[in-house]
Amino acid sequence: MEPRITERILTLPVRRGGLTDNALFGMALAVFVEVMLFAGFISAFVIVRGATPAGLWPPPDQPRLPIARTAVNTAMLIGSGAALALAQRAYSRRREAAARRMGVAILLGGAFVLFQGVEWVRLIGQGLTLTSSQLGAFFYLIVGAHALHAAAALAALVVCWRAMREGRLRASAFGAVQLFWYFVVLMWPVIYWQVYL
Amino acid sequence: MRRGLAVLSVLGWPSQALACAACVAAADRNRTFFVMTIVLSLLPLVMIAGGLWWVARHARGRLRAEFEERESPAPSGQALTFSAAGPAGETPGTKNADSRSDLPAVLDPTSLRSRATSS
Repeated sequence: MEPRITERILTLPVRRGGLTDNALFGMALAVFVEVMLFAGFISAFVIVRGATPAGLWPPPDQPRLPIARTAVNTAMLIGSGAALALAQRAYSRRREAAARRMGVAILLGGAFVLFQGVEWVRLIGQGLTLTSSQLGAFFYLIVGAHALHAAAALAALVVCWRAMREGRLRASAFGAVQLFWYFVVLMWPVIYWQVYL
Repeated sequence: MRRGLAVLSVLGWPSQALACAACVAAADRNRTFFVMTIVLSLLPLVMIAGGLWWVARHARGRLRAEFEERESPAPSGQALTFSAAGPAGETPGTKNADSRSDLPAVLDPTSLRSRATSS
């Protein structure tokens, strides 16, 4: 006898959604593309630097990049990523603590973008511009692209932070924005290592 | 003795002489090209592999949770059963085509229709 449709339905596996969250998956794809974009920039920079005769990089007539001050800035950005990770840990149980930690992450990230802007103004004043040398061109291209991403991620973090304080932040949106911010945070040490050091 | 000769011959193997600065720079450039080609080729593959590993790890947990939930008995009065043949022993269409005694009242088409006409 043919089994009743009820029995047949009950033997099928239940699927309540995809294997992963849609927002997170979309952001992961975007981050994949962005990583390749920065990999291309850094690759071109490394090849151009490698082709320069020894002793001529950085160009002698160009100002030196502020290594020590940027190291402090790098520490702030990494601290921002750590604060966001702590916010994620508190998100499911203590919303207020999570919002506070996220606020710290936003402040540290904002300070990073602000101090980078200050450094840019100082370097332009010293003569390092987009057209002054290959170092200037690559510096503003790579660091500028990162600053744009940092500013966009900060804006998304602020939106999430407000939603979290009002108790209407969805876990999927929080996860996607976190992924984007971690990309910004983890990409920076690579840029610092290759461009500044 | 033979081993010593072999080592000496390997050590004395002729190699390319890079005397001028341009040749040295060119060699460095080729090496940089090579390294960056490797990096740019492997990076997307590593990221794709990482993504697949992550999805597989999460999918395993999700699927296990779904099947555990499926195997656990449903609370009485909450399980919905749908049957194309109607209640056991009854042939569809012989009584009332709309009457579905195996459905809860909120889903029974007869009850829905009567509610709609009364309002």
